[in-house]
Amino acid sequence: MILLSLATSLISLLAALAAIAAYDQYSLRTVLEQEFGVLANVIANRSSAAVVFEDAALAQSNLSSLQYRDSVVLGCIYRNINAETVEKTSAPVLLANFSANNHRPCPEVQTPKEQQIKIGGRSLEILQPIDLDGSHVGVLYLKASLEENYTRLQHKLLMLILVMFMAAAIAVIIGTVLSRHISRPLLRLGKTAALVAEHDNYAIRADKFSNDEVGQVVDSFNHMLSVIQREDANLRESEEKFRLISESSKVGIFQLDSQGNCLYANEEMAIVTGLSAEQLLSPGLLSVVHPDDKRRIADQFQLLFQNGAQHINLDCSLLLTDSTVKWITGHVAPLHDAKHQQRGFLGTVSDITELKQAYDQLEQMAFYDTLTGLANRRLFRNRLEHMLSNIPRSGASVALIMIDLDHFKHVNDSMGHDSGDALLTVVSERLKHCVRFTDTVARLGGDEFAVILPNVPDTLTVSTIAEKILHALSKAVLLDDQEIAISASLGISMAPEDCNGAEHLIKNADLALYKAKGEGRNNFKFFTTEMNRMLVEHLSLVQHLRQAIEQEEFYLQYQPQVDLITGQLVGFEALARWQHRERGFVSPVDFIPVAEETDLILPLGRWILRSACQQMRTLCDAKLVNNRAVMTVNLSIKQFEDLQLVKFIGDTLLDLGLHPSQLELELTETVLMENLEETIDSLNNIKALGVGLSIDDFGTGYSSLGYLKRLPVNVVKVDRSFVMDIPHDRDDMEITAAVIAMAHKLRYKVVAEGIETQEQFQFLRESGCDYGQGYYFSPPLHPAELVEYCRHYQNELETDLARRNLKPRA
Amino acid sequence: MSRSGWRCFMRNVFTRGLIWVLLASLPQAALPAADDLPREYRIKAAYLYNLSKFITWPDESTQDKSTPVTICVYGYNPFGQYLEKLQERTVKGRPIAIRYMNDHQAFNGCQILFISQYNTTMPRLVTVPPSSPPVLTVSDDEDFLSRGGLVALVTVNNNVQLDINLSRAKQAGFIISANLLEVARKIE
Repeated sequence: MILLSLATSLISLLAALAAIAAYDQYSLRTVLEQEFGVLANVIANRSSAAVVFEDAALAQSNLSSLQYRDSVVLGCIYRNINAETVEKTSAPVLLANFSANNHRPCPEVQTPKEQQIKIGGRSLEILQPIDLDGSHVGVLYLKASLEENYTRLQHKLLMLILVMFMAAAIAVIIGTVLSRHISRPLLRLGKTAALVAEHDNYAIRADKFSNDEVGQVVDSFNHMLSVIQREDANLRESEEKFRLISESSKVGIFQLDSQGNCLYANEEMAIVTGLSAEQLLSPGLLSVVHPDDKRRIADQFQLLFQNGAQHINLDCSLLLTDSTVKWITGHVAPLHDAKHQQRGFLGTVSDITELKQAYDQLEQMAFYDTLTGLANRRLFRNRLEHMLSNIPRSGASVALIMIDLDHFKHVNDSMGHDSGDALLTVVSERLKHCVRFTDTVARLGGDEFAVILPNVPDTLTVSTIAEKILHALSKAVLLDDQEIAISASLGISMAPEDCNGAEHLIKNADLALYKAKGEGRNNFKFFTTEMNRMLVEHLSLVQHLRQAIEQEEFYLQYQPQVDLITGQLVGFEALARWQHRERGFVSPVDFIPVAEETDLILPLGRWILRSACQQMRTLCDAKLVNNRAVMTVNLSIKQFEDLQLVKFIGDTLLDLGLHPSQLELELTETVLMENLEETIDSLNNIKALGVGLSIDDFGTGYSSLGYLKRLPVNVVKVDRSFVMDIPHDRDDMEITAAVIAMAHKLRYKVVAEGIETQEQFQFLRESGCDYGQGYYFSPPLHPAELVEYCRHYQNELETDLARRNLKPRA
Repeated sequence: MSRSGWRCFMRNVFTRGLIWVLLASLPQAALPAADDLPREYRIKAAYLYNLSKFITWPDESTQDKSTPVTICVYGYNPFGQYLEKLQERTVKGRPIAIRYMNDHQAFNGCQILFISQYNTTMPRLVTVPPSSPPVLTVSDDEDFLSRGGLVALVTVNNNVQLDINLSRAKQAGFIISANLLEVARKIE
């Protein structure tokens, strides 16, 4: 190193020396040229007259001044012949000369146009024309020796070389000293740095030898090592902290580089994904994403890596290598360092399988029927609204089928709720098999089902499906080893044909269902505008009925009942009548069901009961009837919902001072049988009061003798439909006779209603029917007519009985 | 001095006259060439020509470059036709004109007036009136300066030498180069 710099310095110095020498030589020449040039010029100028006038002595004298210049060895002045002779040019003629020391001869010269200086190795020659008035009148020749100058130059160079070597020697000495003081500590510092790097040990320190700048460098180096050591310790500590946090975290944490390669994943990550640490790095998380979600999640990552999305959500399911399915939620976002440079991505993943299952369960509970697993009313509404909202887009129709099982209540009542539930389950399974995958089957409650058919092309398709459903549901169901025959009624409405709103559509389907049920069940009905009209009418009727009760537009008529054997008046059936100011006379067949539907039957029933009892009181007070006469009042099954009914009856009888046996309550057989379980206690309570019970329309409904025997009934009523056909229909007549016989076997009294002819009366009396009622005896009567009738009857009876030789019943 | 001058003059005329007589008898082609002029007069002719290069006329700066420097020879012309050759040359960029005249008063337009020592009618005093244009009077008469001339071309040991009346020349406004003065034999 030192040698190299020394050599470099030497070369530089030599180059400088050469340059100095060259410059010296050059400047010396220039100086000599100038010096002698001027000298020649002066002498030439001074000698012009001497030359012109051939004054050799003067020329000699001018030249003699050259003796004071040591270096000048020769000086010659020549005269041009032509200047004098005005003749042609010829060689200049020597006029005067000067020679120092050795007597050298003047050379032959030619007149130059201007000053010529020729510098040779050892001498300098000048040819200086001597001019006068623009013409060369002569020539001056000067020759100077350069020996002296060269000698001086040599001395100078010698001196310089000497100085140079001295400088080099000094440089060597200084360099050695410096290397001892600077290089060695620096080398040791370098070795220390290498040692630190090699052992990755920041505790090593460099030794300090001096307090100079090198010592300061050592201090700085050691200080730097301390700082790095501290930072390193901090870094290790924070890494350890991060590792602890990360490893004990219940959240899967992973880091990706900017290409999406996994750089790190914690233990939880391995637990969640079921992958080993190596598998997490490659092939990575995406390999276990469920095939259903893989495309979506891959797209998400694409968004993140290439399109610079700020973050993505990882909500998906995993299909682990052991076929376990898990649900995860997670998040991946760009990772930035302190300088806001992006350093890949950080992701978190949590196993939410249990949460998801709980959520699914909740959803199942919220939206599905627990018994059948079908959609519940809520989901049904959601789907219906959703499908209806799709209509403008798809252009296809949506059909809604409301399904009601016929007589389900009976099954439930007779076989118990478990059997009912089993039946519903079977029905739901059958329903599911009748429809397409995209259709919705819902259980709206009880035995109410609904099917939504989206995208149906026409009503024909719908009716095909409806028939399929009817067929499927009409097959007998085996419950508790018992075959149960079931059927269903279906109401169908279509959107957008019938309406648009879900509410409206459901209402229409219900209306159609109602209609289907009304038309004998086990069939289906499409909604029609006629049904709607009927609905409007129905609603209007309800409204009027409500007003009628408030404004007491009802009145009662009474139809006498007669002992067919004795002809004695045995009682009356109270019949409710309604005279509306606009509608006119409204039949009870029309308004009683409406009253039952709307619960208006409760106040109306009470009013009828009390009014009839009052009438009975009046008749009794007038002595128009004996105390064995009975007032029969129709009781709706709905009235049993009135928990105060029995008390009300008792109170009314007590209030009016009537004997309970003077009142008989009439119930329709069909309705009674359908609701036997709920009503049997009330019936027994009524019976306990002493009030009689009769069954209306006996023989028309579904009855089993076992049930009939349980009823606390005294009287049954043969339906007018049987009486009507007497004497034309022999079958009916036989049935009637059988019914009467059977009723008597059960120890019931039998009342026939609708007797209009002598033949009917005759047949019934012969058949053993106890009492009769009908136009043959009397039409229903207003209270005033009733009084008149009773009075007349008393008189008539006496004579007629006497005539017919009949005795009044005891 | 005047006696010997006179003798010398006469001798020259005699010699020259002889030559001229001899020459006149020869056919024209045999006439001597200009080079045949004695060296002394060739030198003198060169002096006449070269003098003007060392001397600045008082009116020189006002003279046009095309105006010739006129050398006038009064009376006897010792140069023959030699001077004519000078007309091929220039002095200080000006052409040279040669004029021969007999009336010594009519030297208007002459820059140099040469008066030969052999002039029979050599004026006693050659003075130029101060009012007239400056004219450099030159002669080869040894006493020329004492008679009021400015420059004398004197032959000494077969060499022509210059005598210059510097003070009078200065008085007349001439500027004479130091180089010229250096070659002068005598400066008054």
